[in-house]
Amino acid sequence: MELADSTLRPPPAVETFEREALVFLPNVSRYARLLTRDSADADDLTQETFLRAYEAWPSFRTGSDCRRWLFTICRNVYLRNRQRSQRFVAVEDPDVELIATRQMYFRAREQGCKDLFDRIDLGPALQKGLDALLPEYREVVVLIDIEDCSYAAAAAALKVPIGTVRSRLFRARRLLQQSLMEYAEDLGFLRPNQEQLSQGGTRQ
Amino acid sequence: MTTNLDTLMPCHEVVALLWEYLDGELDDAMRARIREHLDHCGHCTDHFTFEGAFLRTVARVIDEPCETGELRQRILAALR
Repeated sequence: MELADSTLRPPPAVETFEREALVFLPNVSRYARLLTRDSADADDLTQETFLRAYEAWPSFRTGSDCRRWLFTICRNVYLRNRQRSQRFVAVEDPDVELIATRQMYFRAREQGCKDLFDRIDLGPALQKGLDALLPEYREVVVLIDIEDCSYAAAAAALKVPIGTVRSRLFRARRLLQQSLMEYAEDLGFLRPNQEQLSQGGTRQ
Repeated sequence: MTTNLDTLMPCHEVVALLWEYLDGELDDAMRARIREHLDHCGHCTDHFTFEGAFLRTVARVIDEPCETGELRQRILAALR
């Protein structure tokens, strides 16, 4: 936690806050967009994050990781605002996801593409894949792959069992990999997956 | 020191812990057992390398800062 002992300091000069916190605006904005998938919502979330950070600045410990602290605020505000009544509940099985992930690796290996992720720019495909993920899956990717949260910390943040974090993470990564493989197919780096073609595409 | 190959974890058990290993979620003893397996199994080493590259790609792409346009001015105006 990034809180200092003294909570009685006055709010900082805007210039100080601008120099030390607002410098992370591009990062927080990106983070908010990943969570909301809507630029207007992301801007509102980002603004609320910085306003709350400004109010809480006297309790922020100098020298702590400000970027992480801002991500934490952003995520908490997002989670509080989110309509939990619309939550999607899926039956997920980490073992099944692992088998599917393994099959994708075997496919890449068989086609001499073990270094697929290093060989081509997969940024656009990954962005599309993230956009297509359900919020529940995207959240775990954001927490674990951006914030470097442990599974336990992610479970606490999302208020779900650690097993749910694990299964959602595995599924999210499998779906992202699937997006990347399809992109690589489109570019001619991989031969199309006949089984998938006959089934009519991917599914969450 | 030589390793008794009969005591190595089987591939399917190692692969089942792939993501937890790459995410640093395993305790030292389990990490050591997996490392020992990887030292002797080229197939699993290649698979772990493949997935590690995937995770690096994800981390690199989704952590890129984005353009913030007028948002900065909007926040500063709200603070003042």
